[in-house]
Amino acid sequence: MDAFCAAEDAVALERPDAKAAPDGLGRLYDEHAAAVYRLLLAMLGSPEDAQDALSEVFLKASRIGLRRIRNPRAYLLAAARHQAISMLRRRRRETSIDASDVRFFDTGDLDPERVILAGRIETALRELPSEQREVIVLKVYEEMTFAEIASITRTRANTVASRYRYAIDRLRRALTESSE
Amino acid sequence: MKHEDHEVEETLRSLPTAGPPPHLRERVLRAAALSPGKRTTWKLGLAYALCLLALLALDVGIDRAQSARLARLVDGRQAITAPAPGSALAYLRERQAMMLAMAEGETRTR
Repeated sequence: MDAFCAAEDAVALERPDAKAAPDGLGRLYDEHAAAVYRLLLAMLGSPEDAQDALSEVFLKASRIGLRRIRNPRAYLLAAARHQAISMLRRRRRETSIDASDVRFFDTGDLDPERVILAGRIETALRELPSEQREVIVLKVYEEMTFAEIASITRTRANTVASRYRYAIDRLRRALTESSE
Repeated sequence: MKHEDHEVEETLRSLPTAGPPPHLRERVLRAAALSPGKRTTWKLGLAYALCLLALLALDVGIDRAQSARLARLVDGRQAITAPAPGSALAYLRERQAMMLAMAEGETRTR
């Protein structure tokens, strides 16, 4: 099933909103770029690809017309997911990248102990399949319910829940091993 | 949700995630300003379609008007058809005879 359908579902054919400002894209970017980038980075594992995908997602939103997007967060996350899947498919046909140096966390201002913790979690995240990483990001950082994640990923809520369970167990094991 | 799950989530949330580089915002906004919107393309397409439709309607209208005019001219009878190439001489003769007849008629009227 096409993941982009979920993005299209989030586009409402409504009358233009009078409150929509001309600088709507800038505001949309400020509000959602961090979440979209986080999901893209988790799925793609490459900052360059995540930046390219982020640009593409916001450009598509701009082309569709911001006033027609009823639920910007759902639309952008679904579009980001679709973009990431397309890029992953392309990458499988071309070359695989080494994600060992990719930093999911911004460790610039952290003390050394937390930098080590971040590194361990990053390693555990890297070992997870892409669909489990996306569930972790959407559940933990976007605080979405399984039903909401299921509507974005176009899967059943039970599938989302089992992906989450598997991923969280793996992460917990990684954290427990690191603390021992 | 299990308590341990909540702890793992909290640990994840406590670490700041990497964000997009600051220059990306400007790049996206500039690219969006340069690219034509979908609505503009849609409107252009609609304008082309309407123009074609108008031309088609005009063509049909003109055709009907011409047909009606021709029907009035031949008074409901079959329209005069062009002669076949072989009977061109016969057609010219007939036409000449008709012209003479008409001229005679005009002379008689005067």
